Amino acid sequence: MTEDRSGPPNDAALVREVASGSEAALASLYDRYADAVYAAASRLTSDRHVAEEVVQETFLALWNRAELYNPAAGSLAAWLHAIARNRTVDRLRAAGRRPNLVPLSSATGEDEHDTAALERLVASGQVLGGSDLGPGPEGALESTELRTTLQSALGEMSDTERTVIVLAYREELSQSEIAARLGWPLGTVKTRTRRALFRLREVLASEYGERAGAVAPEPVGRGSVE
Amino acid sequence: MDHAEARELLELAAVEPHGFERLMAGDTSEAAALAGHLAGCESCADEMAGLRRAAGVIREVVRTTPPADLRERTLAFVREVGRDRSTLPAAVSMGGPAAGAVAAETDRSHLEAVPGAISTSAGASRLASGGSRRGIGSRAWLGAIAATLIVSVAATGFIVKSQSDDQARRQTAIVDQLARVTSWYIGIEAQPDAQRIALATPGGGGASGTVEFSPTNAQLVIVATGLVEPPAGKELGCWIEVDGSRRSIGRMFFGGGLAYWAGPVQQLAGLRQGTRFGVSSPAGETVLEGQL
Repeated sequence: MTEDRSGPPNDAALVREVASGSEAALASLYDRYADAVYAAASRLTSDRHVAEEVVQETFLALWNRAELYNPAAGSLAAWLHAIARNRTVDRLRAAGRRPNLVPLSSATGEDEHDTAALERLVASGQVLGGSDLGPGPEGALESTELRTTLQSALGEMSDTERTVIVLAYREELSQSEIAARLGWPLGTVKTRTRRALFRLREVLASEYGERAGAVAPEPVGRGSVE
Repeated sequence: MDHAEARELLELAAVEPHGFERLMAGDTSEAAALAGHLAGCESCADEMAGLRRAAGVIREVVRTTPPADLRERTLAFVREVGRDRSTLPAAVSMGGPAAGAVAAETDRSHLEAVPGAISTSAGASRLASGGSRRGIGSRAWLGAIAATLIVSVAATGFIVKSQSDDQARRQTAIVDQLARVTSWYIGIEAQPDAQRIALATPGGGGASGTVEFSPTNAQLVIVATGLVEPPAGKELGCWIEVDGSRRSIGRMFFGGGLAYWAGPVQQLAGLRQGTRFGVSSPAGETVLEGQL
């Protein structure tokens, strides 16, 4: 088997090593594709536990069926994405939920604003059709570079600041719930959350300016405590 | 309400679930005060717009980034329930010990039926009647494997949940092996220097087979029909003989009415005319042979 020795192994080489029983190769492929696999599952379900299990099952499928991967038929990324999508749909169906594609207008209740309807439907795990995102910040999310920048910024944060941001945005806890979970005073939670948000907005502003919605942030106001 | 108070409310709204929507609902004195401030303060209104955009971006990245500990949990999960690949040998060299690359696996996973994605070919019926003395054409034995796969899938059923279901697990293991043999074959066929050798029974007989290999990717597949699976503890061995010197490739595996071996074999480049391939019984008797 040939391998490009001038750089990191390509996907096909790593998959061959997985087929030979290399856990290190599997770990390398995890490092390359876990984000994309998790993101694929997260876009079909708001249940993060399901998304995590889909990641595990996808890499298990890669381990068990590495010999079936044919690089001539398509990229490994596409293969893994298809497995993740199918696993997520299977789990949702098994739980009695279907990732439906519905027009917002038909899903909006009487006297319900579109925004509220949208939030309700997304929270229920339904997949909604939509128009192209256009050049706005949501479209910028497709940029791996932006994603990597934010992930790096999160990684470089202090544990306390990263924790409050993750609890707020991943687990969707309120500030009061975070304070109760961590046993911190509410004021401390608010201060640390505002500081973490400020840092992330600084990163966005310095890298992407207004395209990512990062009008240069104002510093955290009075009463900051640590 | 001054700028600092307004900014604090907006920043906290940016991190609360549905924070902006509740703040803009305007049904609290705080919300009303903010609305009044924003109506007369362009910079704070801009700040709110920027916060909404940034929060949306950050929320999406955080929400779709896997937790750091998922890496170890995933690798541990695969280690625990993934197929046992420790029985698979390294590449077989001409001077090395015999090893079967498509080994009978220790199944430790919850199993799913392999989807019958391979279509059959008309050659399958010809094989059922004993095969051709001139060896199995590539489409024919590929079709035979496909037919065996489909029958095996139907017999196995769908998801096997209990590891005590030995028959279903063996069936599924065979299906997986045959799928891998097909995958190896397709990989070899894709090479420009792929070569095929027909195997026949010395002196005539019902068994026949094919060797397919490529020096470029150093891979080799042997498939045969009509061979009798030896009793437990015994094995049929496949080999290559160059200039009178015989080297073992591996032991033949059985499943779905076929005998097979597939895997990497080094030193396939430069084989001369007259190089022989074959399969021998546990007693060393040649049961199939052919030459380049």
